[in-house]
Amino acid sequence: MRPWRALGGCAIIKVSGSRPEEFLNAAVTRGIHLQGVRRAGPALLLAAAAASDVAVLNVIAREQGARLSVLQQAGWITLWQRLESRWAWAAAALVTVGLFYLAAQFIWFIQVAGVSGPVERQIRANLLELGVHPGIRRSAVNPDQLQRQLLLRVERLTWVGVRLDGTFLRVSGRERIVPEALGYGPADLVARKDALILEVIPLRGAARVQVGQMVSRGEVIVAGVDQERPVRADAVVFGIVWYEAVVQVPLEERVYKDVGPVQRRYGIAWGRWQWLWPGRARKAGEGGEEKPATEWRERVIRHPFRWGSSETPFAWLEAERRLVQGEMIRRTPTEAMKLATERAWESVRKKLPPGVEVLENTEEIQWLDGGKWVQARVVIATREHIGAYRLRLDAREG
Amino acid sequence: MRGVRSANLRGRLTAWADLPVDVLLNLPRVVMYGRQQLRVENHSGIEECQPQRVRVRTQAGVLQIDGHWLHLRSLDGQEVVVEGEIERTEWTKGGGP
Repeated sequence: MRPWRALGGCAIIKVSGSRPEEFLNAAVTRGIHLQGVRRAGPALLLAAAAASDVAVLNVIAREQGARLSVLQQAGWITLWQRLESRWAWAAAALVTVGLFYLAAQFIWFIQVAGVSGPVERQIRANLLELGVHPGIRRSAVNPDQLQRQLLLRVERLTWVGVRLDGTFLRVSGRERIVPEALGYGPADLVARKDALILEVIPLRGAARVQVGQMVSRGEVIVAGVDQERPVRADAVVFGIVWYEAVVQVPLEERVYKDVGPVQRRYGIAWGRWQWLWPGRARKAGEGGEEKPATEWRERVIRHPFRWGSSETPFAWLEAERRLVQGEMIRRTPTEAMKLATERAWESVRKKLPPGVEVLENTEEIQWLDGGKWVQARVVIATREHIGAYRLRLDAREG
Repeated sequence: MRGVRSANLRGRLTAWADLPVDVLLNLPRVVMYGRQQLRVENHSGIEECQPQRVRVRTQAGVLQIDGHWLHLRSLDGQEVVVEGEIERTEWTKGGGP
């Protein structure tokens, strides 16, 4: 069967008569191409022909005194005819194709590669903060912007690549390498943090900064070159690093505390769509509570199903509803300042590396929104060794 | 008689000029691929089509193919392709358009 004829569909025919061979000869004389001609019985032939030739074959069969019947039709042209009688099936197929197309417009899997577990978790958390999660539209994701944001947010990253690949968002990163993990080989000494250089004593390599100069994270402090040969830079590099925390506390604040029973609901989610059972939770007061100032607060915990290291859009939901009672807390300016300062100190202490030398502390208090809020800002200056090794590209390539 | 003389003349001319005989003399070209397939170009029709025997008419006579599970894989005005387990081929008298 010629390909273009196959596009038009083909028919399996049955020819019965005393001399079916005469039918075959008459058909080929008229330019008809037959395939798979078999003798199925003493007076019976089976063959395949183009669907468009069936009418002519019928005429030939009558002329030859044979009887022709079509056993089966196949091909694209017959597909529509068959679909007409199976419209429900056709509609379901169409809807399925549509759903597949629609599903392909979203990101369902986020893959993070090339980094260690903690950094991967950091990347995923930051992606979530940036609004990138399984179920987001592909068009809503800008890979270049994501790359920049991840580099800024995840301190241990030296390079990151973000790529949209079908329904996958693939993030591949390279971590800042610490000396212990680096092994040996030519390397630059770069700044691990934004800092002000206090002391730089190059032991090997060429210094690229001076005392009193500000350096940014990743900037080369001592280049690993000696007389144009790549070497492993070494130096004593100390700098001032600042850690900052800002906390705002209002003078009046409404806080909620649990006062009643806990309701639990369970459900499933696909992307942003979710279904919880029971569908409607009780309202405040329906459960016999006699506390008019109470209200229900719901927290939904999402447990996504995982496929290897990737999250699927499917998730198991667990919703916890608590009956809470609002209470207005009023603070004096002194109390608010004290609370804000305490919280700011607590926050900034969490950022400090262990055993670091503290040079200076600064504490600032500021009133905002016409005196309704107090803002505490705590800055700690530390003296740290800020050098980190980074392999030289020229040495790796060589 | 004139036809036979003409055919002889064309045969001698073909042999002298070293031309392909199937073209000038309208002879069938038979190609056999192992024992599974046999192609006959320039045939004149099907004389018989049975699972044990297929007979193809040509200008040179009737080509009889014996075997098992024989069938015509393809059939048109120029070529017939016979497939199956071919045991024997034999030229018999007869044929013609």
